[in-house]
Formats: sequence, C-alpha cells, structure tokens
Amino acid sequence: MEQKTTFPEHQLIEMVKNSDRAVIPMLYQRYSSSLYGLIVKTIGNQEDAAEILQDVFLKIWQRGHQYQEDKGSLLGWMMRIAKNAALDHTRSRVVSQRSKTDQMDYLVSDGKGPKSEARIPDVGLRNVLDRMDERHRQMIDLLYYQNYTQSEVEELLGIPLGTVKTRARAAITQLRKILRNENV
Amino acid sequence: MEQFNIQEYLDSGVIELYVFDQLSEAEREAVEKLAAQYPEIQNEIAEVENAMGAYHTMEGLTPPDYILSNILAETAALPAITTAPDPSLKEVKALPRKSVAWLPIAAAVVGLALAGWMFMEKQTAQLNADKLQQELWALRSKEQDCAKDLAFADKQLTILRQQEGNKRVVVKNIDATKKQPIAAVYWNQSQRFAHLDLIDLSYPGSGKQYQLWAFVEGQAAPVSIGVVSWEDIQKGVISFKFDQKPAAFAISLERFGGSPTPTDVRGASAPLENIKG
Repeated sequence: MEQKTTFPEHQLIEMVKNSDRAVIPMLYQRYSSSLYGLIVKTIGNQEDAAEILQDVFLKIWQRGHQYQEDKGSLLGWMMRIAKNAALDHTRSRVVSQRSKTDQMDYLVSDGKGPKSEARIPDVGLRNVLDRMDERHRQMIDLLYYQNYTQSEVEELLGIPLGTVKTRARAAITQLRKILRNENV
Repeated sequence: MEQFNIQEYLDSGVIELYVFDQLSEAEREAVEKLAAQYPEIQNEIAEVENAMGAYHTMEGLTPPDYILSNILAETAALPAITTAPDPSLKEVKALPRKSVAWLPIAAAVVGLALAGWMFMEKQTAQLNADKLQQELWALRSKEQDCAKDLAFADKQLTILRQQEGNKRVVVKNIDATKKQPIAAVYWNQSQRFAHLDLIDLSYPGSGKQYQLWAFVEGQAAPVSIGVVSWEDIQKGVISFKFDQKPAAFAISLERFGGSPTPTDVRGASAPLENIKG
C-alpha cells in the first residue's frame, strides 16, 4: 500500500517495539485510514469506529514489545489488533444473527459498502473496486469483515469448502494484480 | 522424502486464510513455523497483508480529525513504557473521549499539592511537545503533494526551529572554498531524532546515495545514522531515529545502500558542544 512518509519501516518497527511515543503520529499518518476502514467495515458504523480506533492505537503503543517481525508485517500486526477490537465490540453488543445476516445481505447484493458513509476518494481506488470480481469481493467481505467461518460460507453460498479457499486466494491475487497495475 | 513445494503451498490459499484469521491455532503455528523457515512464505504473508491494508482504504473512509489529538493526549497522560515485556504490566484504561476537558479538572484537583502541580507541569510540557510533533507530522503528511513547494519546506523548517529541544547543526562543505553549508541537522536529544535538511547537494549519480554519520564519543569510527535517496531529498526534511549521543555529524557520498564506514566525505559539522541552542 502507499507509504505516506519517508520514514524507514525498520526504524518505525524499532520505535514500536520500544513503545516510543513519537511513533504514534507516524503510524497514524501512515495507517489510520486503513485501520479505520477495517473497523468501519467490520462493525458497520463510523461513530463507534472512531472510538475503537483510539483504543487500537493505545493498544499498539502499549503492546509494541509483543510485535514479532517473523510473524508478519507491522501493518498485519496492527490489523489483527484492530480486527480483534472491532469483533470484541460487535460481540459486546450481542449482535443478533439477524443483523449479521442483514449486513451480509447488503454486501452480497451490491458489495458497495455503507453508501451513506462511504466516500470514494479518487479514481485509482474506485477503479480497483470496480475491477474486482463481485464474487471475490464477497468472499473477502464474508471471511474477513463478517468473520464467517469457511464452513458457514460453504453453507451460505452452497459451494464446496475447497472452492472457498481457492476463491479467497483468487480474490487476493486479483486484488494484488489490480493494485500493481493501478500503482496504488 | 518428498521436497516441500512452496508454490503449491502458496497456491493452496492457506496464506490468505492465515491473514483472514481463519485458521486454527495449530494451523497458524504451522504457517508461522514455515514462514520462519522460508522467506518466500514470510514475504507472501506481508504481500497479502499489504493488499488487505490497501483494500480497507478503498471506501475512502477517514477517521475524524480529533482522534489523533485524543490519542496523543491519552498516551501523554500514561507513564512511559520503557521496559521489555513485563507480564505484570496491566493495560491502562482509556480516558474519556472526544475532548481533553479532564485536563484542567485534573489540574485543579492535583494542584492542591505541590507534587501534583509538578506532575501536571510535566504533562503539559509533554502535551505541547506532542502537539508540535503532531503538527510537524501533519505537515509532513502533505509533503508528497507539495514536494516542490518551497514555502512548504520553509514551514517544516520553521516548526523544527521552534520545536523545543531541537539543536540546529550546520554541516559545512568539505571544500572550504564553498561557503554554503551542504545541510543542516536538527538534533533533538530528548526524542533522539535527527531531522536532516539537505541544502546544497547535487544529484549523487546513478547507484549512489548520501549517508549521514554521527561521531560518537568513545567510538573510533563514525556511526551510520542512515542513507537518503534522491527522491527523499526532493521532498524536504528527512527524519532519523538515532539512539546514541552524537558529538558531531558528517555526510558522505556512498554506493547505493550505504557503507559501513564513510568513503567519500562531503561535509562535516562542528562539535555539538560548541553550538548554542
């Protein structure tokens, strides 16, 4: 993804591991849009997402020493913290299966995300979304944001479990290819 | 024994499911074990994570402006975390949201005691420092859009000059006939940051980069602070974290990627102890 600062990644990591306060604005500048987007798409509203994002950055700062580079990128580690925080929030509100299904319905039906909240910022990003196969976007939405298990997706879409895995792979492969082409 | 086929493993979709957090604990551990063994797998994880990071941004959602200042206020109010992992470290509950109105209240209460007053003084100083840091980085976030905007670069420098604790160190050209300094380093000892403003350096040439060095007391050879690409030089000030205490700075021209020791020194500063500010 786009790197918005010129600060070298390895120095950011060192600062994260040392829980250096000065790293917070840098991480925020570089990753807040991504983490916020993740949270909004997981919980479905922006107001709560803003509060969760605050908690997420506090956790990142407090748990910096736990980050292990060999287990994934810094962004991946932060995304896991954000996703867990968003899922905890969703669970704490005891979201009913109905609301989960309702949310899923809009994702399955048009895949455009929450229209009242979404703003497509530039042509490049819009192109990426428009060029992605609808089934691939659906797979990412169900498995990642809605946290459906592979078995639940198998049952919901009536496709074999093996297809769930290969479609997840195909979705990311297509996304990476488009991102490369769009230079996003 | 059958050889492990990395490509087949990647094509299975297991990395995507790992990033999607769709694997059991045992499956996760298996992926992590393989990732530690095979750089291709580690790289694939990072690639998938990066792609998802970009995907999250595609609805164009951005957090409200007040969030960063709230985070900085909250972290400023917490004790610094300076130790290695401490199992007894409890997470500190987040403070009330959407405003920092608790600060004057806290000040009034704590101000009843001298010790409390001193504490608040320290917090306020930290908040101011964080605010300046925030302003600096907010400005830097715009730098890619304003790469050639000299006025913007001036603004960056103004903030650096005003930021408490920054010492401006001029790096003079090694060629004494050239009076124009080649760079200025804004060194912040408390934050341990070197902000490098390159003033008069020409294109380093293909396959070469400039490298910033520090002379550190007790060390015979200069210590590398980092290399700078020509692209970064165009954008303005470049920041480096440096955990040692520099006695002076130098800049050299090196092959791409840098050198363990300086080979073509282009400029050096006076000792920091001789510089006021």
